[in-house]
Amino acid sequence: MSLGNFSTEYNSTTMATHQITPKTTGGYLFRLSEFGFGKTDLTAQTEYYESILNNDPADYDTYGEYSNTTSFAMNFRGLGLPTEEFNKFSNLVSLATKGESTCLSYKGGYCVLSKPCSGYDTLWDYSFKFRVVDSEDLNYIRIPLATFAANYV
Amino acid sequence: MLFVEYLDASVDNSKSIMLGGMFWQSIYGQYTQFGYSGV
Repeated sequence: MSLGNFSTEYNSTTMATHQITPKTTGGYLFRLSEFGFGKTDLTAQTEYYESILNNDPADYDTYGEYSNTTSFAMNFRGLGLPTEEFNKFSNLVSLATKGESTCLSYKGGYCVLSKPCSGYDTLWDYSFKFRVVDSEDLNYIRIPLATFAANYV
Repeated sequence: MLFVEYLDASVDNSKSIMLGGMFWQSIYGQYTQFGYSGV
C-alpha cells in the first residue's frame, strides 16, 4: 500500500516490507484469504485458528462483493466485525473466557469482560490472524487480542 | 473491555472487517519497542 507519504524514520529499501494491494485499483477493500481467531504457540511451533471469514454461500448473499474483505479505517477505534463474523467471534471469546464475556450483537455493540484486563492471563495469548490475497508473498499478520483490550473507566 | 465492535451488515459500509486505530497503534508500539524485525 503506497497511498501517500510516510515517516522518514521508515526506510523501505533497508527495512522489512510487506506489500498488499486493494481488490480494485484505487479501491479501499482488501480481499482476505484468511481471517481467524486463535493461538500460536511459538515454543511448540504450533497454531490453531478458527476461521471467522464470511465465506459461506449464505453469507455471500448478504455480503456480496464485501464478503471476505477488510478496510483500514483510522477514524474507527478498534476492530469492526460484520454481523456473522461478530457472532462467530462472540462464541469463540466466550469459550476462551469460560463464559465471562458479553458481546452485544446490535449496532455499536462491544464485548465486555467481567474482570479488568489484569484478571486474565491466558486470554492474551489469543490473536487474530489475517492474510491479504493480493500480497507480494504468503506472509500474514497476527494481531494480538490485547491490541483491542482496555480497562473501561 | 474488548473494542471489537458489531457492524450491522444490512448497511453496505458495515459489510467488511474494519481495522481501526488500535490496530495501527499496536504495530507502531511493537515497532518502537522491538524494532522492525519484532513487528
